Amino acid sequence: MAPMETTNQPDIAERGAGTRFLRIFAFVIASVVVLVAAFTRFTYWQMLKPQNQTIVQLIDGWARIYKPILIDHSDPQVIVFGASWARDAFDPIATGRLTGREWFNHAVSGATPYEMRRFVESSMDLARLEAVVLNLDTFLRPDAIIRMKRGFDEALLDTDPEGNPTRWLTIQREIAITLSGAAIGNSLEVLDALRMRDSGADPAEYLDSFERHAFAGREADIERMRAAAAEFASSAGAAVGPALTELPLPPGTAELERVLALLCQKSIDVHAYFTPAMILQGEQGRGLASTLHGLDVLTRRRRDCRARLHYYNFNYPNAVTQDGLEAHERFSQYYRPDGHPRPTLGLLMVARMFGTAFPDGTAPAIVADFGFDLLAAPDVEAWLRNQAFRMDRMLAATAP
Amino acid sequence: MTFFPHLIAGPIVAQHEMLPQLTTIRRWLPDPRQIAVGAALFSIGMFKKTVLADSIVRYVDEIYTAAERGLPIGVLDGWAAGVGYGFQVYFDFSGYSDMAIGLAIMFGIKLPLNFFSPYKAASIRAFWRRWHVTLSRFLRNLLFIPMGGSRHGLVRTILALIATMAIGGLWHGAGWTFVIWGLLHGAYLSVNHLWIAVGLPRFAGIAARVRASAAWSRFARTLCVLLTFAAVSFAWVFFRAHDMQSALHLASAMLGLGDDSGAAPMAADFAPILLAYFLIVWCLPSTMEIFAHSGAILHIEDYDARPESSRLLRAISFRLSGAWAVGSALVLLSAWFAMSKLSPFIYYQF
Repeated sequence: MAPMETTNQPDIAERGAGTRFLRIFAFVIASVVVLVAAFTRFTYWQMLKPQNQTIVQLIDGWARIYKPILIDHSDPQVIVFGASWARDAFDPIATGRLTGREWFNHAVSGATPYEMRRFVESSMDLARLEAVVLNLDTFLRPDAIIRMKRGFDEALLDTDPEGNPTRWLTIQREIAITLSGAAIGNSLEVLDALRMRDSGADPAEYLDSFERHAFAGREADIERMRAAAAEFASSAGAAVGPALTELPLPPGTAELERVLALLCQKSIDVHAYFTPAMILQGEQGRGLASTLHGLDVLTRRRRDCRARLHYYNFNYPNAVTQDGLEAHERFSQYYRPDGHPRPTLGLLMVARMFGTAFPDGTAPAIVADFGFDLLAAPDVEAWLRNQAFRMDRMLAATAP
Repeated sequence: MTFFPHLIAGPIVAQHEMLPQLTTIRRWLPDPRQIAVGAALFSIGMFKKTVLADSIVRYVDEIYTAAERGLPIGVLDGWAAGVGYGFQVYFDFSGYSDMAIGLAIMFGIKLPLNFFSPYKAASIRAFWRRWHVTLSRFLRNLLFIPMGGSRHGLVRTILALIATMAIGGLWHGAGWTFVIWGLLHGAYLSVNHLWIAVGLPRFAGIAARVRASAAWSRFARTLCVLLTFAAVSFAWVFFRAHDMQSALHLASAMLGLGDDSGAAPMAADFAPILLAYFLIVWCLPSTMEIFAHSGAILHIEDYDARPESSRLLRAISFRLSGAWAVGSALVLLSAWFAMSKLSPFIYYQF
């Protein structure tokens, strides 16, 4: 192209080149837009089908964008809020079958306390909503310092941060699920997972939530931990540590308080819990301090709450968290390789929380002792300190 | 006053640059050539913002948030915070400037060049000739020169420089971190002036020998670019940090003076992105060079932007060709699909 010396009187040839440039430019954009829109709308139509909800809600990736939109289509009775520990644990189809209610798993990977509060606020106008399962790990972890993460978009939520209906919501959502990078990425992943499911593949091949922790190579750890478990099972020791008032307040506490206030105001039952951590994985869950903080917040809130509040503790040495210690199996039934709970474990928690029968084949030891409501138990703090003491000793048994 | 492409963040346009153009286009008619140039420039600018700048935000934010919380930070993470934010703000604001220039030329208006490969600068003076050029010009003409400029001796020059840059820092925000950022740049510029006035004559022999050897000359220039980049990156920490305490925390970490025991390394997560950005800013021509002969940019002639200067630049210089039309459209689509609402343009806040 020759240099353009003037901008107001271009020569005819240059004008022609400019027109041709713009035609090609517009044609490429229009072509790509039409192709992308067709592809993403087709996938979205697939995503709305009830039989695809396990894949749609458990797949990792663009949940921050899609879940606030999808939930308005599903109108569930129970919603799960939390981070990936909760996302992996609750298969909406399986939990729905167990409880006879319609579930939606709204948990997103790496959820921040602020995001969780905003997701809760955005879901409050769902007509049939009865209960919320609230994973507290995100709220009360001491390092929850980031406000929001990539993909989180206030404009896709039903309400803005001031509580008003979001402006231009419909068009923003249409763009998000049709003409965004997230729409392309999510569509590719969902369609691939659906294709694998329909071809009869094992769920672990297309959903990380179903992968299983392997016990191979951990025999020595398992032996040491078994010995420790036997030694400390009936120990009267108690984990020592500062009193609750001396512990630093986790940064997400204020957001948790706001969430509970909102749910109480709307008379929506709350089933709060900490993820039961796999002891063999060297995990200690969120620790005693976080559990006590949660207890403090929920106990205070319960006094003036219109809804029923429950605070379940699964995170102590029991047949689930000691998975791998009792039976000689090659793979964990309840945990993923990274220690996240699998949907099988989610069903056990749901059975305890909602008082349903445990899934067929559940070991009697689990039915007898897996989780209880801390808000309904007396002298909980002493018990928690004892369990933390046992947990510490078992974890020490695997320390290098 | 209401010409929207440059209104919010710049480039800062002088009245004598804008008014004559407005008087000559009273009866404006769309010109396909100008719209094509504008669309291509806008596409690249948006790509810089949504793909290059926004990709690094979450990593950079993580380190600054850790600093705000007083968490231990290692030396590498400290430098990743400075360098990472330097790339973020560069791609963000130069992208914004490209978009503004692109939009303006669609209406037949030329806006002045605002960025010209600033991280290739081999001295801090060269950096400020290439970074936010219209602000530099504004500060020079309205502050530095009225304060005496460089015509009243070295001491007066240095005092004027430091005062100008401190006020320039304040222009970005009423906070001590911005003042320190400005003072740091004032100090850098002062050292540069001192070196030219006092240091360089003493080493004239060595300098001549270095210039005589192509290899040594290249090596010296590379060292100067690295030193300038490091100094600028160090200062960015004060520009970005939420408060003085976290800025000092990060600066200490960069200097190896902080307590990094138990620090969880964060820089490794985005080291490949940083590496890619180094290649982009040091090895590729700038947008302004690519569009140097498009007729869209004011004052481009003040810069050494010759398409014939390298084979790469010759190959990718803007043309009204089919390949450029397809490429621009794909770049714009990539930028659109990468768009995230997590981070607005940084300079909207200043």
